[in-house]
Amino acid sequence: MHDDALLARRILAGDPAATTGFVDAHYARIFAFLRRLAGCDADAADLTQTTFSRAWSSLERFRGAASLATWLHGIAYHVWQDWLRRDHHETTAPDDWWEDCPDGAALPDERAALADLRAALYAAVDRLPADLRSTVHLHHYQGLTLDETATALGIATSTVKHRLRTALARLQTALAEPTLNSLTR
Amino acid sequence: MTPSEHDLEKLLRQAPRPNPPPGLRQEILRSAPAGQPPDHAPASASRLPGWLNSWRFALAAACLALAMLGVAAVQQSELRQLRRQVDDLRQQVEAREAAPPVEATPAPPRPGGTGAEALAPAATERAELARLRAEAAKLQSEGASLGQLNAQNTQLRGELAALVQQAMPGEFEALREAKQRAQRIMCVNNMKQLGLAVRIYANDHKEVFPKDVLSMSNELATTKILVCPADTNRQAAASWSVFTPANLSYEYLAADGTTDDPSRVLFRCTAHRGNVGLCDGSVQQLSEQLQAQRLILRAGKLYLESGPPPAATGGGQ
Repeated sequence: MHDDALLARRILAGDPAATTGFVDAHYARIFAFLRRLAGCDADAADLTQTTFSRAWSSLERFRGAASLATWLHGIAYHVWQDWLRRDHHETTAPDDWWEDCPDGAALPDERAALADLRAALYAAVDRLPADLRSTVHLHHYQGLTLDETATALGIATSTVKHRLRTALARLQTALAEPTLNSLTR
Repeated sequence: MTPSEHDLEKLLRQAPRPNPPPGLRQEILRSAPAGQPPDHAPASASRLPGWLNSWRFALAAACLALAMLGVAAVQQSELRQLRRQVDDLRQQVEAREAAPPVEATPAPPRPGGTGAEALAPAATERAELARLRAEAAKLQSEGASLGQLNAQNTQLRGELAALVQQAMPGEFEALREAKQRAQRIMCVNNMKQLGLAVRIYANDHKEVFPKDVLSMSNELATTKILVCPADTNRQAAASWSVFTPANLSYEYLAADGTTDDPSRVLFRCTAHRGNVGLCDGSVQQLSEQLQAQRLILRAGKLYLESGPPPAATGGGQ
């Protein structure tokens, strides 16, 4: 935490190496987070820029209570929520969006069933209610710990645990039912 | 086949990461702060030394409190001075009243002064005396009316008590019963929350229940639900750091339990003995008869045996 506070001060002082290091360490991760939530490359790029511009203006208030990564995820989450509220956006990601995402390596034939399961699972996550979805994204997709997820969302750790359990139960039900209707109930 | 939670979590952690579009990094870097000298960022706060910066609000409040104390001290000293002056004046007036009248023999004029000048202070004192007497009479009349009001108040209270005793024994009984019912419902709610907390704890600890109530402090939002409202001998702990068994109204009877024993009694209220929480998270209200019939002790563990649907006095929540 102390290192993060030091890094924040260096960025504020205009240290180009610190600024570049900070952006390189986080911008792709924040873009991925917002891309999955917003469902569109152009919107996600705009939201990422907004996130960083808010980060620059609030950096002087960063005291190192949480890590910079958690703090930045918290800003990104609020930016996304503001965007949802302001423009009344709904989830725009199509079901097959995940299939178009680069996966690093081609899947062998014998893993085709697993690939189908993955595609169904990721599409099912996108159909979860917004609070469950953002919790799954931060904890599982972004790799934040339970405490970091709670800090980013501004809720208690026990609430994060509860949301994750509920989300997993709904995903299991959804994967068992091909219609996936149970997710949004 | 439905994948397990573990498999789902594994797959979720392997979710592909979308790549950012080219040019986004440059856009973000372009919007980065241009750079200010470290002494100017943040503008006003960092001009102060570090310790002074972090304590500035507390110091401001302390300065304000000191200033207010100073003002209060000055006011107190002025008040004391005024009281002394009033006492002195009162003593002078009393001494003058006690002295023999000297009005018949006018005071000889002081050398170097006229007669009117010598009489002026005496006239002022007489006027002051008259004013004080008028105030005393006013205070006496107010005191008398206060006595009347007190007498009226006592009389009205007596009448009210008599009315309550005569007219409303039945209503009091109904009120008491409603209060007891509300306390029973609050007790059941407390036990429901406790049961939920135990199950959340077990979910995170391989389906094993906590060894005591303190172990699941992370799962409980407040210590208030650990005290039954009907239990007047116990008070809720102010925080978990000062929690002791004296702040707990509920017997925790399944410290070594697991979720595989749904009918085992998890909690039992010491005030409402018929209120029992089970390992499946449900709470039952049992009459004394049902307690004797259905609560069975097996191998040191208390179980609620299934039976016919409970009568009107008992029921599941």
